[in-house]
Amino acid sequence: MRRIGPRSTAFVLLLSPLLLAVAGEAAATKEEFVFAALAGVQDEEDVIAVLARIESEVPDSTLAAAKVAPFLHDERLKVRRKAVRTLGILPFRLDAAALADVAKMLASSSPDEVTDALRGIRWLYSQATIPLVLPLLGNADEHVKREACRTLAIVGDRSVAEKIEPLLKDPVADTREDAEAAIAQLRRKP
Amino acid sequence: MRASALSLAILFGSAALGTGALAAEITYKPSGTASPAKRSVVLKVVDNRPLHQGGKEGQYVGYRRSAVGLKARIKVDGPGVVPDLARAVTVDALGQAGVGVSAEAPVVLTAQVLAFWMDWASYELFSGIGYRGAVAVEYTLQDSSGKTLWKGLAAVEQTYKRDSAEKLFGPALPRLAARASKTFESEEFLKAIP
Repeated sequence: MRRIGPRSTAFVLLLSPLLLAVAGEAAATKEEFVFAALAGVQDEEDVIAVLARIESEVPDSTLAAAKVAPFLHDERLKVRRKAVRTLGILPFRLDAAALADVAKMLASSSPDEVTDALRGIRWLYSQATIPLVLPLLGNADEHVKREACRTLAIVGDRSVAEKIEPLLKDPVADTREDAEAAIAQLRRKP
Repeated sequence: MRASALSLAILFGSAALGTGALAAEITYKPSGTASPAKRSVVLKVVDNRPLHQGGKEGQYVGYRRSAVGLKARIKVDGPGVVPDLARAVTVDALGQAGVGVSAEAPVVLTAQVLAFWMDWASYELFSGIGYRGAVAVEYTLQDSSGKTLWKGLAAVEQTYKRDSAEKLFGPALPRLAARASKTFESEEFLKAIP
């Protein structure tokens, strides 16, 4: 077997900063490329397609959230829904402006918008969203109630479990199942 | 009558072919970029997934779907695999933040696995069924009296074009470690460790 000699090691060491710089440059270029696409689009479907690209191509970008957050108050329902789902998977701490936009979405008359907002805020892990989510446990829509349970199971603490208990008597079996799962998760938290 | 019976046979046959149980071998390779540990925590890992997503039977990590939408579970080699992966990710992330793991440490960090699951997310005519997975770990730092000193969450979603748990969770776990490491590097977390 050939041994790696000191000259090869030195060569790799000399080359590694260059390779790291090239990799970093490529990542920056990819981000810039996707963000540039977002800046130029107007059509609803095109905006949604670029948001989907952010989600799949640069989900760990620390710059992406600032590009996506303004779409939370877009006048188009489908764009807002995609924006909140995309924001939810990015590294982002929910600030006051985004929280206000999310609060409007959670109060929407469209169950689809509410469920997407609930899915979106789940991984953002902001305790400030709990008072906005709790009233949704009494929503008329089955899917809103179920998503509210799932979100509270992540964001909430043990004290939230009792708020979900009434849903154990919900007429819909799937809602009862999600309520039971959320309560079990919350009660096992430290 | 005969035609209907034949159609049903084909339907159930194709469903059965597409829904065989799938065994997965998910591994995590630590980044190997640990900083010298200036602080340490006791690490406790708890599998606290939803009852129907691995919470009842910890060896399952998702569903694969047949062409007609019937589901079969994706299993790993025992209920300890998911907590072990979460532990490996957390130890790596703590190490990157300069925090060691020791049974003698004055504070306990509990890592609760709240999600480790994959299922279908889309269907394209030519590429077939696409999958999405989520991994989420909630961290709670407590002192010896049980008082909570700090809380945080690391979570990622990952997509893949096939039902391979290895190809989906494989890239998801280093991403999770990177996010957890950022959380552990926060001033709030580091200040809470004596």
